[in-house]
Amino acid sequence: MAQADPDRHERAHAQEAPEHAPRPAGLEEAEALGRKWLELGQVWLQGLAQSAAGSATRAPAGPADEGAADAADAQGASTTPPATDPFEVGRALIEAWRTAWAGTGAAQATVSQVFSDWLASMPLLGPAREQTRLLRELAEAQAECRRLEQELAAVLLQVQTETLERLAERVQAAGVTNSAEGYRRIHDLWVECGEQVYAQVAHSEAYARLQGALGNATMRLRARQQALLEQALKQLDLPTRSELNTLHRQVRELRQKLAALEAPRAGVRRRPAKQT
Amino acid sequence: MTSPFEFDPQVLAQEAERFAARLRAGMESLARVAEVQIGTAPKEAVYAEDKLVLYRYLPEPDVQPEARIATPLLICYALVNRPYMLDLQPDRSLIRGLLKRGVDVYLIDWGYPDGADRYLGFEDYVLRYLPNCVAAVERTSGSQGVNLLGVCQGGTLSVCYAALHPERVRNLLTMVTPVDFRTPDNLLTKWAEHVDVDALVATVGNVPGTMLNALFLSLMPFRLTVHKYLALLDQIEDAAAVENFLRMEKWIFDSPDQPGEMFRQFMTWLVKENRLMRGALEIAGRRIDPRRITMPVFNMYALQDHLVPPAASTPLRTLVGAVDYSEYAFAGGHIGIYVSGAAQREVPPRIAEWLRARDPRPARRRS
Repeated sequence: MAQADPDRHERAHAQEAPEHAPRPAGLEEAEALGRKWLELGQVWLQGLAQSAAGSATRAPAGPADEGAADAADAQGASTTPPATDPFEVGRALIEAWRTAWAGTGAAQATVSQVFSDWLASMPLLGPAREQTRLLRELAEAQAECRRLEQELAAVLLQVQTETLERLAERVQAAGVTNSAEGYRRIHDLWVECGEQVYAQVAHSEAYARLQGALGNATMRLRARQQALLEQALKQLDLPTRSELNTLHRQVRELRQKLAALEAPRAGVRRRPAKQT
Repeated sequence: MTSPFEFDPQVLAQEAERFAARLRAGMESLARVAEVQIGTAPKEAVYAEDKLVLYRYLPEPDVQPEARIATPLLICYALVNRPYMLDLQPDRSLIRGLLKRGVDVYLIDWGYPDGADRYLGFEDYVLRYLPNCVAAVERTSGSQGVNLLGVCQGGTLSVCYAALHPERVRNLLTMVTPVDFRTPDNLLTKWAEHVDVDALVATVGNVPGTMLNALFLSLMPFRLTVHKYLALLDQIEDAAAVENFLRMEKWIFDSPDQPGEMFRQFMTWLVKENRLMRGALEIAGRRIDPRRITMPVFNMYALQDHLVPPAASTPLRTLVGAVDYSEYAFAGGHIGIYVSGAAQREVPPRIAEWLRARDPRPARRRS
């Protein structure tokens, strides 16, 4: 039964008042994450619009050209001059993606970290002690995964940036013309450049370490999820993977013992092969 | 830097339209193609144990008995992917090529391991399955001993088996087989260095084929995830080419899971610790000494192999005790050595000639 608390109504009233309302832990971070995702979409759309506007202003001179320029101005392109070099547009898009992604990734990582910290602050007491511990470990693993995913995304974005740089050089060196064949040639060169840049990164010790760390963190996260799931299954008296593993291991051991017993008989039947 | 190349909206729009039309045609073509047929060379199951099935391919009726190679050839395929790569389609088939040249072909199909197989290890494959398959081939063929051809990881298993049972292997053949896992150009082993394989296997049990597929694709992501599908559109009107593509696509993504313990041991003992190369590999307390491989050895590798670089295969010559050691460097890749046009012309004849020269029964007619 709840104990009488004379100050209860006053506190409840204080919580309703917006100027004094304590924000639940993680809410701000969650809101920030949502904002970041919105920004990410906006940046991407702006990049596409900028690219389109840049193309429009490079159309053959004439009345249509003026119209396109006017249209671009009307869209606000005049405040940010359109890139004249298509590779510059590509760089701008990658940079925009990098900035937005870094922000979003950081926000996600922060949310995970805040949740993890909040769980870490919960005392490991009472009947829910073990459950809290499992949740705490899960949150820690999730936060670690988010952080490493962000690191990997940054490396892969850098690969895209360097690929574009190399592509620009190769296109210039190869004298690719503005034609349908030219576009296909650019694609082929992009693949070639991409593989070259990626191979350099992929063979580095730093990349191997990062990939290994992310893989290991992912496994830790999965193991925590499994632990929670197993706990729930046990409560419902449903079979678990651990139980199945035990059975499989026992069957294997029994088969090995059986094979050892049968081996002498099999050996008698064997004849050595004649060597040439 | 700036580029002299500028996108022309009109040309770009035209190209986009052409591309869209090709894409539409491509989708229609793909929808018309029925499920592709693979592994069609006639065969019969002669032995089965757990998930594995041992097949014998029916001899080519056109090959005269005196032109046949007496000792049967047992092919030990890898646990990764499916063995029908060796008989992908009638005109791209290592197995048919061997049958035409009088080779009596047996093949181990490891099947699709499931949760019950997660504790299978080296011991099961090298000390149980392989010996049982060899015995089954001997029983079926009436031969004493077999010619053993190991493919990729199956080659590594075959090397282990031949070192333990040299008396049962008349000739050992290896194709794109890794023995030295620590060469500088081996990207897979570099990546494996920092992976906690124990934790991986403890968490996933059997290692999913889809996980390995993602790994293989990430070796060359631009080429394998984008470019090859665009290249398909170039030949989308060619029904035969589309079917060839789809057969390969099926093979690539028809990936059995890897028995967890076997994966753990293979990755730890061979890939990370390079025990075979260091002469430190033991299976169930039995040391694998490749110097006991004194039978003739034919080592085939591919010069453009990005999965098993030549440097990972060629050290076999330094490991084995064979005096009769031959090598063949195929000008192609890890898969091309089985399915390319050049492979059809070069690989089966070389294998058959090499075997015939070492067959106990004198061949009356050369293939």
